[in-house]
Amino acid sequence: MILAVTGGKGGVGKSTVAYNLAAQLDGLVVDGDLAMADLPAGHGPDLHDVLSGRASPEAAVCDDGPVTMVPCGRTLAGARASEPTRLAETLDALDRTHRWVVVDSPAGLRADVGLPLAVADASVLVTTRSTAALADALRVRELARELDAGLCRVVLNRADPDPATESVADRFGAPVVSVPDSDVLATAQRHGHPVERTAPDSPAASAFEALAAGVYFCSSV
Amino acid sequence: MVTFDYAASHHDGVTLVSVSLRDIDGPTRVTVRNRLDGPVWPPRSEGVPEAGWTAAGFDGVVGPGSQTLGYATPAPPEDPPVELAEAVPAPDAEAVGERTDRPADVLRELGDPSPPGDAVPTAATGHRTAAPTPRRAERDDGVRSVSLPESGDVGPDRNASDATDSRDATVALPPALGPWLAEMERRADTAETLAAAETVPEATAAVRDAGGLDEVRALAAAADERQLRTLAKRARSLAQRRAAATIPVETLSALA
Repeated sequence: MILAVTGGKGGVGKSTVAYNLAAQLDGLVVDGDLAMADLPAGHGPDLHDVLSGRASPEAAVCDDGPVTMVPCGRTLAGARASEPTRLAETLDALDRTHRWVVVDSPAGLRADVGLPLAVADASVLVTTRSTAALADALRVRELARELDAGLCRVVLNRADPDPATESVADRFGAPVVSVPDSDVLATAQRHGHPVERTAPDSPAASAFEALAAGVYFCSSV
Repeated sequence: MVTFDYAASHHDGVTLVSVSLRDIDGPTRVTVRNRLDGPVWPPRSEGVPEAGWTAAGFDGVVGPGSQTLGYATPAPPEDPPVELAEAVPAPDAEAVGERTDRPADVLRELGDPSPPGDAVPTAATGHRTAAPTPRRAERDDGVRSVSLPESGDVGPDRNASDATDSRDATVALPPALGPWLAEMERRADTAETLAAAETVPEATAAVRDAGGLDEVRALAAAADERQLRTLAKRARSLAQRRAAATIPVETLSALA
């Protein structure tokens, strides 16, 4: 199953959510931000190599870290040499060999956001409570709807300890999982670890557990 | 019955051909073929040809109603410039231009996310010459060669995309080596183009692409070949030493 983690605005925590969700699902996370990769780098071939035809999708899978992933190159030359339309066939190929393919999408509304949504079975929207983030997330939800990537969950990131999520759920028409603002989560992400490993009992870890449960539920209906 | 009409005009060495299809009763598959002696330059969105355009012209489902098509070609105008080769009803087909979630449609609709060519550091431009599609290789003008590999910004995060530039993508080369090899590859490409140029226009274009006569002289005098052969020799002898020394991991861990 291909899951697109997207959100429109930059800096709302898409990469953190994608990484931790993949860890919970024991799935594969693909760093789909071709020009500004955020997830940990690998040592072998990366997504740029796959999209420019120099490596097979399977060769770019890096499973020596805490989370199995397809890292993305850091160079602008690599991003330029990449053929974006290959993203669709690459994700399809990975989907055949992995139960869960979680795509960390870039900010914005260009084809690098649309292409994963076009092949995704479902999407997870990440937003914070700020007006700008909510407005961008609503735009991405429209795109996801047009491209048939059903909205599975909305993640309200950096939420207060006990947020009122009804209004957000209402506006997006999907259940909300709130992830609390958390230093352990930020530190874990900075060091390339999922929070379930560094702080399994933290509220952030249980939030991702709840998110994974939501995703399981979406995949079963 | 489809009514077929065309017009052609010539401006600055480019012929613009427009085609009008009218009285289309229902969805119809039409094949419109260019008859001029030159390539078809189709309309594009975000660099991707619009749906239905091929190297020979347009082939797709249109209508009902009327449909206007147009393309450009460097060939001089003749009469007729274009013909309607086929028009058959296709009641169940989906008309071109309808939004789908096929990758090319998504790209046309939302735009290419790639960074602009001007933003790419010149030391790494070797990638583009090795790129798989015309779109990726289309603009190499103005790319100047960089004299020495060390001048490339070889940082810790210039990682595998450069390192795996060798065709063997399963073995990653050290990050410091990748950009240098890419640059060597680019210089070899330039040298081959210069060597292969036989006519005056070819030679002029090759010199311009190489960055001017001074660059060509510098390239001719450079010790690329010697450097590469020295590297190959050292690499080969080191590989032989590594192959000869089998590390008995099991035994050593049993001893430790």
